[in-house]
Amino acid sequence: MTKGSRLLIIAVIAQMAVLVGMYVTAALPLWTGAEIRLATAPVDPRSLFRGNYALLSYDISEIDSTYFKNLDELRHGEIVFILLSNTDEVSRLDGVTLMKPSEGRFVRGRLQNPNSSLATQRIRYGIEAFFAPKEEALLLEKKLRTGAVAVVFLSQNGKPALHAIEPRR
Amino acid sequence: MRFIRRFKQDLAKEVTEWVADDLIDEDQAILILQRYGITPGQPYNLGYTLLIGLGFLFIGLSVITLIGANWDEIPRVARMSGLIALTAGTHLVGIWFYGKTQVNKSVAYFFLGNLFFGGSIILIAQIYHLGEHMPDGVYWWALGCLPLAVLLRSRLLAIQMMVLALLWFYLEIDLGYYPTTLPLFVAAAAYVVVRSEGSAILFLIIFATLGLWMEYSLSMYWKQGASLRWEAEHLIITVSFFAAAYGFSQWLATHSSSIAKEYGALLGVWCLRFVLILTMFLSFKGPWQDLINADWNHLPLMSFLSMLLWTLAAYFVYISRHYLPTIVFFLLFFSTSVLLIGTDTAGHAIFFQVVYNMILVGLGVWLIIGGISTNISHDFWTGVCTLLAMATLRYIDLIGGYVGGAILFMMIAGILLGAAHYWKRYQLSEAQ
Repeated sequence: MTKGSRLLIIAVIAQMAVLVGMYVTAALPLWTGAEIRLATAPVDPRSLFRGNYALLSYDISEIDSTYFKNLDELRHGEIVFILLSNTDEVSRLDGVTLMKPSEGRFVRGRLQNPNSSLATQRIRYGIEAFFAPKEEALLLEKKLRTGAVAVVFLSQNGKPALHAIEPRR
Repeated sequence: MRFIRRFKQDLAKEVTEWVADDLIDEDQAILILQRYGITPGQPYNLGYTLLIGLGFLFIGLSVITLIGANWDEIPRVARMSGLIALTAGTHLVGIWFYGKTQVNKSVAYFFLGNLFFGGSIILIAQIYHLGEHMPDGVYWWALGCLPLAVLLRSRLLAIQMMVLALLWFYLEIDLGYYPTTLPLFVAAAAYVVVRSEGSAILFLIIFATLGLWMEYSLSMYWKQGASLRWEAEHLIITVSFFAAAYGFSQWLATHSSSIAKEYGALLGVWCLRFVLILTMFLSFKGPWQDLINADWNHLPLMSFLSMLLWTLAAYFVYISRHYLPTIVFFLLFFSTSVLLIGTDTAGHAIFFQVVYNMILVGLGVWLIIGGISTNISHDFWTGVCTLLAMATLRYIDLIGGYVGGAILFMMIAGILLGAAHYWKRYQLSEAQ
């Protein structure tokens, strides 16, 4: 085998490593994480190249600006940790911090276009899209219009993985 | 570039006939063809390569679209492993062809494998409902294509990588993030351009990407609050960037390598097109009013970068000894910039507008005369189109009402007739 062929094999292995890395990173919270439930509502089914999905909005997607200190100094995409408390079926907002908490239940998100003049700030968690076949996505949107619960698994560092969407009890 | 490619095809055909007619021998034919970077006896197979590439592109798009159907009936593991196996298998076919020294076939399979690689990334995102930062998936897709493009020095794979890198760049910008590692892709593409047989498209993509990246970096640096803004300073930087690019094109034209000459001609043509489009844009009053009313809050950095780019242009022009266009361009740029930044009277916009209309006419005349004297039909027709486009624009958007418009048209007519008279006298003196 020539040197060129060997280098090409390494390049292909690198591509496979990227895929395996993405797969493991995506699945790890589902294998090892702690289960929480978040109140959600499917907003709008979309059809993009990636397929059909229901766009999810959570109660913790819009957070009151008073939870943030020095909002003007925060950048778009800033990592924030949302502290959660379990008072009933679903987990609810208990506070916001920029430092990773050492204990308790928390979820990691990214601040979107912070603006101190607004009453609330938007956070994205990476679990806003629930992919499903077209008919199922449309049905989901219709069935869960009055409110739903997202079953989410949290890894040690707060990274969430979306597992399922269920009707609210 | 089309005229250069056409010229090469015609030359190859002509030289074959000269040999058949015993005008030149085969060794001379080879030397002539080599002078223009044409490999003797090589069939012109662009159409075949293009169709194969497009065919593979549609296979890849078909797979990616099929993933969109999101078949829940097929277990996740089966879907994932099936697509990963398809990706690896396609790449292995590519490696197999490479081992058999069939590099073109090898590249075609790697191209298809890269599309399947992207399909696999999309599938993982779909199965695990990933939506945290969508550009990341495109980034990893482009990054996965990079080593294959570099190792094979393949133009097709490098273009595939750059298209994905630009898509990632756009998505990052759209979400308000900064694509820090874009120069990595530019460096890889530049390596392929230098070390391969050359690619006009890739060469232009590199320049366009560099320009976009520089302008966006400045936008990020200058931004106030959450929103990005196009500042007046960007225009000065863009013009300076094209000046440096023009200098670079003149330097490339001095090289003995036919590929360098081709790149030089191509870049020169695009710099000319930029100047014409910009001058047409500046032949309206609105842009000048906006520029006069601009805040010019970033003058020190703008001046420094502009000076740096012009120094680069001056260096290239100095070593290529092709001074005149750059000197004229610099004087015009410098005087306009100083006057523009120095004034805050919106009424002065009309003076700038009239001057730039005259410059546009001058450019058209220069291109027509230059095109005739050098027998370059591209320049001749560009000059004719410039004047006709300008006449249309001014008829729609009159300067200073009907009387002002009539005076301007009369002035343009004077310039054109004067140029025609000068040209005739020049030709007569040449004939004597």
